[in-house]
Amino acid sequence: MSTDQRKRELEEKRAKLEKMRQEKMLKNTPTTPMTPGFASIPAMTLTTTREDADPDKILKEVGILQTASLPATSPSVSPGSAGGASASASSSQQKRRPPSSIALQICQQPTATISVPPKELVTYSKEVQTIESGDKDPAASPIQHEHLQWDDEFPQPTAGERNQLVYVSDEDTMSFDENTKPSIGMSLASVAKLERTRSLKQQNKQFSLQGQSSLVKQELTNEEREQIQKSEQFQDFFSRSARIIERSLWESPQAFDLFKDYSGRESDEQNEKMDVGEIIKFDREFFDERWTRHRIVTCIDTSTYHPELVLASYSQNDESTHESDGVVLIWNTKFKSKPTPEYVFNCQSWVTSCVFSKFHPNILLGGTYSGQIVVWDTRTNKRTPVQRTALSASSHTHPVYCLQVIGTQNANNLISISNEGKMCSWNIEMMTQPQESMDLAYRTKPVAATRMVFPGVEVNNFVIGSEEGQAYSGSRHGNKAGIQDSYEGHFGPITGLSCHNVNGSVDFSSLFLTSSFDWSVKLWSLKESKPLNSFEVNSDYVTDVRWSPVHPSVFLTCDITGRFDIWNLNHDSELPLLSTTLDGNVALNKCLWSHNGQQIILGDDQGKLRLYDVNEFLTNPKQDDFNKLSSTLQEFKRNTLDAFDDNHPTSVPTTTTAATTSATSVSHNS
Amino acid sequence: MSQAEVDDTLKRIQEHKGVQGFLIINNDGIPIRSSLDSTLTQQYAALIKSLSDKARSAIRDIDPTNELVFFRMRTKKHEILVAPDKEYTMIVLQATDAS
Repeated sequence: MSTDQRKRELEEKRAKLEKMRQEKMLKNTPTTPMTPGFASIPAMTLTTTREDADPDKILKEVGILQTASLPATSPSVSPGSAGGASASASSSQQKRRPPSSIALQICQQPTATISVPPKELVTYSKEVQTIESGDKDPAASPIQHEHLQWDDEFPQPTAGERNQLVYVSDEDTMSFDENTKPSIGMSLASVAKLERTRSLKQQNKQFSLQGQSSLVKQELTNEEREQIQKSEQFQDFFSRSARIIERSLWESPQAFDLFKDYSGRESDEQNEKMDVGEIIKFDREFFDERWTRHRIVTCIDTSTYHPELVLASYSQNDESTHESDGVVLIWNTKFKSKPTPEYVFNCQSWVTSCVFSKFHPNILLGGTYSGQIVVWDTRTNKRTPVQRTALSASSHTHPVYCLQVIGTQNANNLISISNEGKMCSWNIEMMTQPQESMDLAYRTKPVAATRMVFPGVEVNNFVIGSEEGQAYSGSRHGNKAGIQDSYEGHFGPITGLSCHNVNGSVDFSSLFLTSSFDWSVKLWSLKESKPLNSFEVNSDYVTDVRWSPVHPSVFLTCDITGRFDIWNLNHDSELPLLSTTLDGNVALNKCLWSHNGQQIILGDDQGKLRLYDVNEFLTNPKQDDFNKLSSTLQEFKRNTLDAFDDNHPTSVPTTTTAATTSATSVSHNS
Repeated sequence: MSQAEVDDTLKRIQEHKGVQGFLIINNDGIPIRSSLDSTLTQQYAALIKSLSDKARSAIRDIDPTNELVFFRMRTKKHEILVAPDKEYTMIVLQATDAS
């Protein structure tokens, strides 16, 4: 009651008031620590909790506070307040006077409201930093820049993250956490690219753009891919590149060995050295599962333009009817390990004879069982013939067993002969009609020709072997067009015919060899109607005979038991130099020397082609080989004449005269 | 060459000893056909394409009449055979360990 007490009370209340004011201020602006007012305010512990418990007190103090904050507005404290005296006493402390009446007038007080947006928590992590898309400063990292373009380009496949950009920091390697990985998805690849070629950022940019754009395109073009693969250009490209790739694939094991293994290379060299004593050495065989199984090799030829190419034609495959009947394959001997043919060609009926066109590097010709002659071109991608002769009476109607290209580069013809004895000459550019055709008949009997050869570079004279066993010689033009001479000797169809074709000091071009089903091989001269010699070492059908193109006295025969012989007349005229029988139940159908005479190629009835390397002494004739051959031929003649005499004994006195006449005739002939 | 033969040949190539995969891409570096998984395909398509282009331009710069036909890169682990062409490129990966 004393003024001192009241003063003390007032002091306390003032302090409390101050406190309350401050707390109120704090409550109003809780999150702005920057408010200048706070700077001056000493740190105060919130003591509101204590005072909250007492609402009346708060009200009073609020009332007091209110009155205090607006000194302008004078609270209308009921004058009937008991503390009127005190109120009057402390008019300045009106605020402190607890009004007896609770009726307070609460007036609206506009408070300054400051709204602060929620503070963005910017977190930086080493690995991932999300950046808003939109226009950014191009001077910023170009990687970011391109990422922006990325975003624009394609919609994000995964939901949720609008800004999906990966920042590759320069120092660190990239690491992805599990969350970002799926969203990045296929862009991993391009990001990996960036990592690697970080230094070439501009190029990177292009690449990833390209990569990204290709990603986009790829997702859309599955059908387009199919279309592309069917397109002509693609097929073209593919046939070329696949060939190159296959060759290099097959070559690389050996090439690689050479690379790495020095001792390996040495052993390779050793292997390649042939034994001097070894006459032939197996090189390789050509066989294709799909195309040559169950087919007989019907004809072989080697190319003059590319001596490593071997052409082989095959008979029809009885086992599988859906494969085409006519198959012709080109094999490459250069690539030792590649087992597939370079080219495959088909036609409707099986091919009985085939030949490379000597004067056109990409043309192949085939004569078929139906009598059609077909032309294939390696330049096209097609497997079917580009030209076909008509099946008409003007061309052949029987199987075409022999084809040969004769003439020169500018004037060349294809000569074909069929089983009915018809010989046609064709112009390769125009195969619809033969240029000329001739029916071969010997003394009004048509010749069923199985073999035909134009000796050397002859274009007019030819030799023919027939089914009856006779050989004939004839000419195409001239006074005596047609068959002129016949050579009788064989008892069975002639299967092989080969004219001597070695250029040397002595000309043996009148010699030719024939092989026949009568188990024998006979040597003839064009001038003699009787064989010069007969080689009868075979015990079954002899299917082919070939002179060596380089050695005058060497020839090759093959027969149906799988046996093939190499003969050297200078060495021995009775027995072959080498006689080998192949394993298994193989029958050899065709044989051929390569153009340089260093390899022999044998075709059998199971679709296999075998290549052998021939020893050098059989490929490099010496000068006296020619002379030796001449003397051997002399011997033959003498033998035949003696045999003739022995077979035809006459009376004693005439034998002497016969002997003298034969001697004279011998001298006459030599 | 029909589609089936293309497939046949590709299968044959793929089954060759040591071949890890092949890839055919067009001039834009888009893979047309591939036996590798899509990540590797993309990588190889873009990288090898750029290398092939660089090689091709290098050869042509040295001699304008010359052109790039084929190249192989032998690395420690693989051999990459690349046959570039006017419109398409064929890439084959072969392991060197196998041989």
